[in-house]
Amino acid sequence: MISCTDSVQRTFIHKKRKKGVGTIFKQNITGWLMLLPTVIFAYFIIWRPTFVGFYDSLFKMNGSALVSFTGLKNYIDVITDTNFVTVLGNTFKYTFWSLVIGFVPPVFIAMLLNEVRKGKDFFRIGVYLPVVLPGIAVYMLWYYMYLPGTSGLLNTFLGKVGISPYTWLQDQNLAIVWIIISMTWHSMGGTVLMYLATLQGINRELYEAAEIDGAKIRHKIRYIMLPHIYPVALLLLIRQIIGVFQVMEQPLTMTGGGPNGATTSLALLAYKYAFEYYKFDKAMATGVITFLILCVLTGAYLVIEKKLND
Amino acid sequence: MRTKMKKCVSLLLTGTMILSLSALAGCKNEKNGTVSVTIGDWPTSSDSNAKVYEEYKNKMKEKYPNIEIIPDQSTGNATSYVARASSGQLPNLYVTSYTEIANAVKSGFCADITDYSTKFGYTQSINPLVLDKVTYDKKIYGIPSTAYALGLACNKKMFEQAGLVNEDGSLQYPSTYEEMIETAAKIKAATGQAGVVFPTMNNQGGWIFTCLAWSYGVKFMEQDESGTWKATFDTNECVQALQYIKDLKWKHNVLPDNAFIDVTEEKKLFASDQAAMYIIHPPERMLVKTYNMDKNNICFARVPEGPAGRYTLMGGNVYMISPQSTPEQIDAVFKFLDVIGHTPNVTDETSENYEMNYKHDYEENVPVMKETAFPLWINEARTSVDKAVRNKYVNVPDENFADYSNFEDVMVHEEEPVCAQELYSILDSGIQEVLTDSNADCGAIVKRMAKDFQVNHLDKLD
Repeated sequence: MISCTDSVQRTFIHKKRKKGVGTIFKQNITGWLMLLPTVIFAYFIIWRPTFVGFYDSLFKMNGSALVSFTGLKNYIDVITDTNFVTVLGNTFKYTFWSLVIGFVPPVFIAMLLNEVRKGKDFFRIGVYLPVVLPGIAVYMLWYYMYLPGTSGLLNTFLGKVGISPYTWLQDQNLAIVWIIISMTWHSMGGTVLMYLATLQGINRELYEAAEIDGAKIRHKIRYIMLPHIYPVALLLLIRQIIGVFQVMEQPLTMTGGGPNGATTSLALLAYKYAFEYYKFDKAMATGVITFLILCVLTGAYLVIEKKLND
Repeated sequence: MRTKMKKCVSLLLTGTMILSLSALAGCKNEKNGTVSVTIGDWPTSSDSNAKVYEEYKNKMKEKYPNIEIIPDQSTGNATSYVARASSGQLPNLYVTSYTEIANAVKSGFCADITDYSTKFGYTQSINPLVLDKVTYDKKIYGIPSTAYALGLACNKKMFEQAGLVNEDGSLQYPSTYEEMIETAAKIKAATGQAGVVFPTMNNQGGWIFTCLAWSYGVKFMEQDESGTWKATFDTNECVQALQYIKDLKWKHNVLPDNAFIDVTEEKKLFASDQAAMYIIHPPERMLVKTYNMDKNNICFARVPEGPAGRYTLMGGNVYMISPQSTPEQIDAVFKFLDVIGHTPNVTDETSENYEMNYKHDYEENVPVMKETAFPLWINEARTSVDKAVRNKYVNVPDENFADYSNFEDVMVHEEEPVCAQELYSILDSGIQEVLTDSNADCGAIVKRMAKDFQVNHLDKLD
């Protein structure tokens, strides 16, 4: 039961809030106007396509035209596809291997760069350089490095040490791992710089104090560096999961989703629906399924993180 | 406050209007009696063919001053074309391949041009077999620009290195798929390079595989009385056809090491003497233009014969018109086709313009064959012009294409009627599996492919 006093108090707060919002808007009109282009941009680039994707996925489409409302039929068609489970599994494999292979090296390299005293810029540029290369070029480069037989670069090295040629991307069990290695090489630079910036923001006095107390490098890492990069690492973890879960360009360029569908991801499946089979409705449904899975993963992560912090 | 709010709303509306006007600026207009038409597949400035097309543009301006030609360098490859089509951004005239026609018609990506085709004389002059490719429900949706039948491309230099040459200098082409293995093995032994290359990805593996499978007696699908489609390729014949591919790799070792190969990769291998044979259609301009292969080393034979016969697939490119085109624009597009000489109504002027293309090919050292890869026209006036121009510019020895041109025992098979791209994609995965796993069970793979095709595609047809 709500008491009279409560009610009056709430009305007062409500009025106060209402006034507050107006005042904030009035006081910051220039700021809001400056924000407007971003809002318009976000509407056209993010919100509208997201909404249209949801909406269109509920229709039978003929090309890009909506023909008739079909409810969840597109979703049922996609999920009951005999390859859907494999594709979903592949997408999780990409995410898993990207965390195993791609999450720790940037931290490690950032720590190394943080300790470098001479030629800092050279090493920074060296680490960041792959990021500025076009994706297609990078993955074609890796494709040729991974060529089977004796013509591939990696197999040439193996041959030098007496190891017979390996099939690399044609190995159904490990093709995803090789793709993830190429992705890590390409995109690691940006992450390294973020960790490095964090590490360089640490007060030097902490290190000096630790050294006076007789701390060794492992102690500095454990008690100074890691606690400082922890928030950044959590943010990058979510970004990495979201990014890798939508992997498409790499398998499309390097394997076409093969061998035998072993590297087909959800995003590549959506691409195939749209651009190979002209089934835009199913492509939309696949995109929405990916979006929902990512929402669940991100939500789960935030809940776990909150519990850990509490 | 209200005044400021109004200012905000006005700004928002103005922004929206600017955006809308920007979008509208992309639309074509037909003011002052001028009709603007965008022509796709226009050569890029670095392409030597650009000069020919500039000349076409000038001739259009001379003849039809009220028609403005806007070059559009987008190509008809499936990805870019589908993206543009779905956003209504196709050029008025665009080029795509026969395999895309069914989906383009179904998706509403092309205009019905039946009346125009009749009015300009195409319906009566194009080979009915070819015209059938662009006809759905008795309506015509495109003008075929090229037509071909698949054949076997052979690298003359590698055949000669393997001693596969007859006394009269002609090559010893394999006549059957079994002979193709023997030929490939000899070439591999003599040169150390792949005797044959087979595509495996981008739906191209499946595309070529259908041709091989028909020769083994495979029927991929059939429609029952109720109109339902059934996958019918879970058969011994299909297992044998797949086993053939597997044996090329694991038993005879005549394929390249790489199992991810599309048609572009095939061309690279063939042009650089790393593969001696592959199934494709002539004249393969790209081998010379892009990969600098000596045109005299390109030979073509008929597709090999299988246990059930010698089957080939007809293909080619087609001019299509965007569904957003106005009647005036469609009319202008047909006038453009007339000016470039792709017309049944041959005049001295159109014949001269048509010749420009062949002259360019001749000067660029691109193969010009004496015979067309597949007869496109049937009206005498047109075919005689074709022949005369070809004879004038032919630049490759007849014998290099003589076997291919002998269609006596070749059966031209129609592309599979429904879900062809989906079928190719599934066949791609089966081919990749047998080429990457020496223990792959062909019977089980065929069974799985047939089930996937039925459940994922045929059962979901509307």
